[in-house]
Amino acid sequence: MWTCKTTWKKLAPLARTCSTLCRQNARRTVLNSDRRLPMVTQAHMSSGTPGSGGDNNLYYLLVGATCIAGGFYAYRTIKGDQERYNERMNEIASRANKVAEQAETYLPEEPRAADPATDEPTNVPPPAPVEFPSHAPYLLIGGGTASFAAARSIRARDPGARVLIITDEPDLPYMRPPLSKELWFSDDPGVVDTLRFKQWNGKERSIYFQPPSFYVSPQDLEKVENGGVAVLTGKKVVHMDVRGNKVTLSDNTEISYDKCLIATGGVPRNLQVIERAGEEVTKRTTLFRKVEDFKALNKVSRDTKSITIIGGGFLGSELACALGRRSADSDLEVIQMFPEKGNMGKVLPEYLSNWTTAKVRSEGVRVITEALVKGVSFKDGKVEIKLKDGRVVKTDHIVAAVGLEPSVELAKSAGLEVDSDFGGYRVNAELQARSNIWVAGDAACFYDIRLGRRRVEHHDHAVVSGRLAGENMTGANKPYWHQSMFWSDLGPDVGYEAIGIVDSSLPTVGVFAKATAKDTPKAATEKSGTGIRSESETEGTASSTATSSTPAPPPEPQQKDDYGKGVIFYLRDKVVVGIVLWNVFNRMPIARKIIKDGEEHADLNEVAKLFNIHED
Amino acid sequence: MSYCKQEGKDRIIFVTKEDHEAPSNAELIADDPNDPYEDQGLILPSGEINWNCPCLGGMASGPCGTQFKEAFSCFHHSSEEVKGSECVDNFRAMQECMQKYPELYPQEDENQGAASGGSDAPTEDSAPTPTSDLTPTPESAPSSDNTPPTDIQAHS
Repeated sequence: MWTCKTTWKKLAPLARTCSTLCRQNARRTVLNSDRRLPMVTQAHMSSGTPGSGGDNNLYYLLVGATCIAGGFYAYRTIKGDQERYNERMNEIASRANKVAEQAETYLPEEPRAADPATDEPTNVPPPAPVEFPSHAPYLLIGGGTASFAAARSIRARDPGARVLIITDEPDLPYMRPPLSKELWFSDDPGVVDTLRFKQWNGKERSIYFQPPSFYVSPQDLEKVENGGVAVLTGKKVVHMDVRGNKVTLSDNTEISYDKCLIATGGVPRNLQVIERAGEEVTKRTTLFRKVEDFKALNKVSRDTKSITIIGGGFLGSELACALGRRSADSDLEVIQMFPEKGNMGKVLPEYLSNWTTAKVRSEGVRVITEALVKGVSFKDGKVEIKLKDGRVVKTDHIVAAVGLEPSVELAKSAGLEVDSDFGGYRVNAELQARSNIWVAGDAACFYDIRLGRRRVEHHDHAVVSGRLAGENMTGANKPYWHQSMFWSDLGPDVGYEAIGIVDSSLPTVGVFAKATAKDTPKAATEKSGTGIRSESETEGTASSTATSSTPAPPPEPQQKDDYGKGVIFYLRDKVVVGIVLWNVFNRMPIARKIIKDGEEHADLNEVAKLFNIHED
Repeated sequence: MSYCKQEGKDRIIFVTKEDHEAPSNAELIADDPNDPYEDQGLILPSGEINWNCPCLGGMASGPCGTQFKEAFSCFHHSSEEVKGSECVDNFRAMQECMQKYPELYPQEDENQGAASGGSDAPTEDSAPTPTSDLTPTPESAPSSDNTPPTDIQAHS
């Protein structure tokens, strides 16, 4: 059935062109004959027919050739698709096996780990003996940002709700953006343990959304008077029985639910060349996502001489800048390599991407663009990265920031659909996969009424979608409507907020003003006295790069700095589908409105006026 | 003067302050304040309190959420001369609950419950809960996130 569907999809355009060609040819022949017929009837009949007959043969030949070529192309594509699909399913299956193995090895260690755990100030309630609630009215699978936002939403709307969060991480829910930004700029040498960071308004906070006292312990969840949120850490849901409304954990415990949210996020992708490179390389490779990865990389940055980041997107560039800053005080070499022509090459138009790359370089990072990694090996105590163009880079440690693979292991047992274009669980505009099952966050491929089907991997989206899922789990029936935003800071001079579909392959229109010293992320918050962007947006977002830690004053934006501040519109069929606010802050509501309207604007300069880019 | 350049599919326009002085003629669609899809502010069109408002932070969802909701509802519906004067018991219960969780509801010098209950409720309420929250700063309140239409209408 699948093959038929894709075959038809591939063939449809071809069939269409073939049929239109046929129709056009037929029409042309008819017209020709029509025109000729009146003349022909006067003269001999024979003069008309052989001519048009010969033309007909030519047309048939052309059409026939096109059909054969089209058929051949369709066959090749479908074959490729089939292979790609199989590869993907195999990959997911193999990952599930690996995780199942890990879960089994984790289990016998748990009772032993319980004792040292109780000595330290951990966020995990004493694990043994843990009685799990056998039933949770609201079950949230995954303990990240989306899950926490949903928990909060459920508790706000359903008085006395009992919410159980199950996470395979050992930590309580926390926010990820500081792991690649603020935490690296902290003055506190104990930041690795406290995980607290200073926002630009000077206030300090923890990456954890709530301290442990906020949560109810899992065994008390069913009894506590006004309900609450309980978190089961270090447990993985391995099987989901949708008909029976229950899930099975890795230790064979079963928990039934009334409403379930899947917010499993994803796991960092790795390069195949690294996976195949052997243990010496893989143990010197970091896939950055969790708190433990931050702690490990922090240690590595102090112990090694050279770190190479593979990947030029958000995470890669932010880590490069963070490590680059650190290299200023030590003799750490920081290299960043990626296949695009510049940092954020898939997000920013080329001129801005080049500009950003220059900034990253000024942070002390050696940026290698257009770098395709061909092979990785471990030689003479160094990790050797061979690029396709022959260049070789020798380093001590690799950080692979090459994307996220959404975690959809439950799809099989739950019978949930996985999206083949974007990955992740396929859900409708209300984030529902099936009755009583919702999906939010990185793992959700949802239908955005304005922008179409998509899957978004940003923090604010996790908050917005988590909150929406929580609302819908308590009967709101609202679609995804409030457009989430995202932001990035690359050093004290470059900061931008963005909303919608920000894909550099779309045509863009950028409207810029000359920057003054006042137009930097740091200056903007200092003036307003508050944290910016996220603070005026939905909750759960953290402000970005703190510069108070640097001893030297931030460099003045140079006069040749053409792209000081402005607005960039991303267009799809003449409609603005994405906006980047470049060094322009506190204007996200206007941007959101423009995207929501979805109108065709004849002059985008007029639209840009709405942002008052010359003001602060 | 503004000038424009084209780099492939990307267009770049540089504008001076004078260029942008004239008001914009871009048309924006008027917002429907009762749009059920939109995120509402603190008070819903029906007059009820939106407990899921980001401005409340975690107040309605935490361990003292029930007490907070009772106290705040009472205050909101109060039509006494001194608003909320009949809600003292509710606020006391809330305060007692909050004292059990000093980490979540840091006790400052004045009486937390009374201060937030008596004065302008929404903006102040977020102030006592800065640290334990999703919202990093108190001033985040109802303004920008929940009333974008006002901003837009001012321009158009």
